[in-house]
Amino acid sequence: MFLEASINMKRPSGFELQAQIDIPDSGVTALFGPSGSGKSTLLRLLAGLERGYESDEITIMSRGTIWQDAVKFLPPHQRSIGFVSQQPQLFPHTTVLGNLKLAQKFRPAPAGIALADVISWLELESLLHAHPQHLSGGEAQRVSLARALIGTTSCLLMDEPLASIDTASKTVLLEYIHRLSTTLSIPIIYVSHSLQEIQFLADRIYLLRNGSVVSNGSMLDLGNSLLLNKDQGDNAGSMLTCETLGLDEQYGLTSLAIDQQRLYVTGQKLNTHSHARISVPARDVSITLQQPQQSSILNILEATVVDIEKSTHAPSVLISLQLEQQILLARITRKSLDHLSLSTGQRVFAQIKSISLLNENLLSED
Amino acid sequence: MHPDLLALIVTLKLATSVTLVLALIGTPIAWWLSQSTSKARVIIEPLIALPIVLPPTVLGFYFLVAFAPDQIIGGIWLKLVGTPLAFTFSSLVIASCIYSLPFYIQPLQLAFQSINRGFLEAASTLGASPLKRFFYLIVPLSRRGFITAGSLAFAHTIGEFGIILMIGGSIPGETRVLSIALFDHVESLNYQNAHMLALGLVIFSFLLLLAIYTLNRAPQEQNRGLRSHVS
Repeated sequence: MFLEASINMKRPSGFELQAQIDIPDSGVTALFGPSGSGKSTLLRLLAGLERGYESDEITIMSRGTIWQDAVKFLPPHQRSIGFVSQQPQLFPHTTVLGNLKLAQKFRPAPAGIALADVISWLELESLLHAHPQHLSGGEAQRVSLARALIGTTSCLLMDEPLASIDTASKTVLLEYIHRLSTTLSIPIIYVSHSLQEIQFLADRIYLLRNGSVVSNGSMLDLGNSLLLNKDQGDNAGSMLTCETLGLDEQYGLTSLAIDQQRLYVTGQKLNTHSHARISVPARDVSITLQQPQQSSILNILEATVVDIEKSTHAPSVLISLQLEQQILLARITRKSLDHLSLSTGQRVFAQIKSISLLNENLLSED
Repeated sequence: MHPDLLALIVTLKLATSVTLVLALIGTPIAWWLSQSTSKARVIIEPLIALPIVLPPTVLGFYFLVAFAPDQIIGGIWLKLVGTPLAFTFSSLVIASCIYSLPFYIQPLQLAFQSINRGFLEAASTLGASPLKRFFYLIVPLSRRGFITAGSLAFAHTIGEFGIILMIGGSIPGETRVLSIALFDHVESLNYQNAHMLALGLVIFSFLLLLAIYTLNRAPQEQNRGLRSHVS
């Protein structure tokens, strides 16, 4: 275990934060929740940027070293962490390279990640001599990420790093972060309110609401759960892991295997027999009781209804469908739910209208 | 050496010493004032600003009394250094430092206050100790503040008259500065030398201020980062 934290704090404003957090030695742990849920405060406590009040009970331990308890407080600069915040906070009096070199100078023991590695991982070669104020939001955040990585030896903390940049740059940066998470052997703690980001990056999730951890678990168990998706509206959807089987050259389709069933996406550049993450919006999944025989929809999966969103008066409901191991979410109208008289345990067929192939950023329709 | 040239050297020596001493003492005070939430600030801030409003002769009078060997400050000095403090160059430095303190501290405090806290937080998560944050970040980001503070303290010391008149004693090479030399020339109706000194001071002061304004107007895109956002 890389880090164990137990937080019990109360602000004069009345806001309370109660959380028990365990961060394993590798992988991405997401702190997910709506704004005001306390996820950023929690991250800032872990970084040492906030220390709470005397009456608070805060214990943070990292690999046997106390970062904070009732008597001790290790300031952020002694925690050997990397931290990326929502704003890039690049130092304005120097260039991109100057920023990276300052980071190198700041680290007491530059034994962690090297400057040259960071520059090549994040492809910063062409930006090195630019001044921060001439960078786009996405570029600046990429530099900020690079700067945080230099010399980092323990972990990388990210606080809504994509929240204030444009959508196109978001996808690019998400790719970089994903690649880093697989390259680096240090744990990443990622704070976000965006379900797509979390589903794309995270291995484990802590779900926070109103200052408390509501649920936590692996991405596989929790990522596609109704609990995470029910307040997400049109963003509700599932993230599935597939195996790539190969390219059908005649039609330009790549076939994927998911829990013994077959899916097709348009896309060429995939290595066969590797793993790919796909995202399926719940609104693009419809349900039939019989296997459709003559349909233009290619992707049809057989599944079992395991959960139906209840206590909603909205026109549509979320249905949780179990494949063999993974969960697929479908959003259908309440009228259809009654019409098909769906109940848990029932075998159904899910017709998937669109799939986003996340690792390649390709979109396939029909 | 021409007595006026000697006065010029003493003046420059005094202004340089005062600026250096203030850089050492005033910088931490300015930083403390810019960051502290202590209640003591309410007292300390107006105390530092006092020399701006007090007539220099009031300060000079108190310094004259305090620097006497039978008083606390004068007594301590006599014990530590072995010679009396009154009517020495050192006494001018001490008095001028206090007199020019607000002119050094106020611009610097303003510069420190305008530094985006997000930069300092970022630096601390990058492993920068408070000392490294100060020298690698706060100093370059407050460059203008330091230039203004240093030049104002320097120029203000050169323009000093009332206090030095009270405590200096016009000893050539020791406490006789330009403003006193000018006063002596006028007293003895030596208007030609008085003109030379006066005009010299006007030109020097103008050039100094011109330099400050030019430096401060130079395009500088520092510290323009976005405010830190905590959700």
